[in-house]
Amino acid sequence: MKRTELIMGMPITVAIPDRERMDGAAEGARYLTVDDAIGGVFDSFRDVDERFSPYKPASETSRIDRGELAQTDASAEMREVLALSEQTRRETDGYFNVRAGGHFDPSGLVKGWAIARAARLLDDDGFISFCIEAGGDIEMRGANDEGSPWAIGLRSPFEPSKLVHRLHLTNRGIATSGTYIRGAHIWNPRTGAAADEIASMTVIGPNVYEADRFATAAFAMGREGVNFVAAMPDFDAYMIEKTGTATFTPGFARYIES
Amino acid sequence: MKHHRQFRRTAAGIASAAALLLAGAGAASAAPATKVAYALKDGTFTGKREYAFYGYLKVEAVIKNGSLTDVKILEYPNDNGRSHYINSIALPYLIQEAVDAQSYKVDFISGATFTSDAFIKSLQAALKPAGI
Repeated sequence: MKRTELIMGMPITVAIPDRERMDGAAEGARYLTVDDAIGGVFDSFRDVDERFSPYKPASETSRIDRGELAQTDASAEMREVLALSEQTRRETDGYFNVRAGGHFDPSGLVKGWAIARAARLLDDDGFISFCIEAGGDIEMRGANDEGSPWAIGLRSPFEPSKLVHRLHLTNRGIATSGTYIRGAHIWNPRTGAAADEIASMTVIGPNVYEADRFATAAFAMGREGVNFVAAMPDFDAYMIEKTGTATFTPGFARYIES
Repeated sequence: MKHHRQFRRTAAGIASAAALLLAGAGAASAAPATKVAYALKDGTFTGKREYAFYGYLKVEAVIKNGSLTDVKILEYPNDNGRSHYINSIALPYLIQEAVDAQSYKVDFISGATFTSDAFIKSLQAALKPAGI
């Protein structure tokens, strides 16, 4: 079963093969059917939107920004995101900062974190195979309806209705940072210039949270980004330049259908 | 190695991309995509400001001779908060190829499209006074 809903301003799609609950749920399972589980994933994203949106005045993000809520009094979810933000700030030499520009805004991490969190929900309930996608970033487990690794298309940044490659992979996360529709929307904080030589940067990592944050970082770095990812164990990248040339890591090649 | 291709952004290209996005909206959007091909009132129409989590998006549609000829993005979510920089390390071995797009049957698609729904909604609002 596959369903899509619009949450956090983007389409979110969840697929769980029907075989997962064919013989009913194990005792103590939270979700009795595949449909229940997909609903639970959507609820989880709705919670994240309410709690983390910097555009909702009642969200924890907005309340922390206005000084009405101390970080130590925030929810467990917010404190987890704050700890991850601090970790990323350290790993990026201070370039990733949830307090950049005088406002508190952790949304840079929240999309990938929200997908990983929803995947955890299904892992904990005994699901072996599923796929969760939010705005083009995907977490995969097990096998698709046919029992094969998930088939993932790499969208062309030049022709959004077409794909550059078909990939086959599972138990990984994939995220793409890029500039479809309009010019650059990610900036190199070192130069202050738009990171516009790159059309898209796709990263495959151990989970979608890691893939997402490194795709964003690598994209902001421009052409050096692919080198940065290549040097990290357990991560692979496929970078498309505006000229139409793609550069990718040898590890990425094994996912590409030839 | 695939053949190298030239990519050019033209008004028609943008309009067809917009039409494709409308078509791709499927369950997410109420307006049937086929209507884009019909004659529209000429002029420039501004869409509604739409929420896209990282910010807001607003588009302007330009109709000439009854066709959608251009879509301008007036407001786009500012992604500064996501930007970060990490020092690069040694240059590793990499592979290069020319990008060639095609159609495949897949389970899911990875791409930076998180604002596409806000784009479609804003564009639909812009096209309403033009006769859609």
